[in-house]
Amino acid sequence: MTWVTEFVGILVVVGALVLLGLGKIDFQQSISLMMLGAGIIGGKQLGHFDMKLTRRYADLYMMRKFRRYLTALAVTKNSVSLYVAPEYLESGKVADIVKVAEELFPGKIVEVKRGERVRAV
Amino acid sequence: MSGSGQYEVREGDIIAPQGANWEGSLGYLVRPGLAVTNKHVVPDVGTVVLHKRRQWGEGVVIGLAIKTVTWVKTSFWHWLLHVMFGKPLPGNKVDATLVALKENVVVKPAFDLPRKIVEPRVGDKLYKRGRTTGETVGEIIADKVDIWVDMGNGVTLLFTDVYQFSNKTLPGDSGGPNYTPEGIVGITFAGPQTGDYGFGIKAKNIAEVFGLE
Repeated sequence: MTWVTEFVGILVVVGALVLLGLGKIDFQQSISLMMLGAGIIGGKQLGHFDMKLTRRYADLYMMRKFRRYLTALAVTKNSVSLYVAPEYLESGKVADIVKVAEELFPGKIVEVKRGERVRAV
Repeated sequence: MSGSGQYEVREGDIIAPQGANWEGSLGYLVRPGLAVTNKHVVPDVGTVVLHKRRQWGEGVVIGLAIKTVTWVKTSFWHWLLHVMFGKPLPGNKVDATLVALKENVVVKPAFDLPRKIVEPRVGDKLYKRGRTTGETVGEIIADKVDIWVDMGNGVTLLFTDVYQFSNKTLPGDSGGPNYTPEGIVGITFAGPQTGDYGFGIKAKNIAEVFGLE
């Protein structure tokens, strides 16, 4: 299944060339089809790049995305600790946050801890 | 004041910017004549730094702020990458200002421990000295933490790659030095209302940002 998107993209490009060769479509139509094929492949690659970036900066991503709920986030070799603001500790939002953390930190144990608002001292 | 006109201070002593209505702590000596503290204690370059000022009274001038960090702001390019590819907007790594000390100022170490810069490690003993809580001994709880910090005046900033320790931490401790038995790990900068624990800025990141390596 991994290469299905690429296969479809290549099929569209090759199809466009074949149809052009057979004289079934004109040059402009073939270019449009080839661009569609390239777009399908490029779109998937951009998606990969997006995920790579998100994982690379997973801690910052989590802290910004769940700014209202997370007061802190600690990463160790084996675990990720999510410090949730006390007022949200019992809310259903915690399950969503844990789900995202498990996706972004594969292989690490995700722990939920009671957070506190922190100030500069 | 000691003999021969020298003025003795100690890492973790009370300091305050001239004209300000707050106090903090002196950090560690980066190199002879140059000490570090927090930017939120001494915010601007050119600020005169006073020692042992109490209750907004007179203090002794010990130095001048010569370098400080700029809070990370999100630029057009940050936003573009954020919108297009989901790259997260950046956070702050360092809350620090360098203070050039007067020639007659001699800084004594806060603790009799090695003076090399080391990375904090979970479980290490942490020695901390600051204006309010004095000398405390605790433990490093986490060594890679991201945290939202209320800086006052309605400003909340995201800090990244800081460490957490179990030592009691109260307002005024900011800027004070943190040591482990192996050496200097950083300076105190934040804590919760309860004061039950605190957070520190890594000395390694301070050195990197100010090009001190």
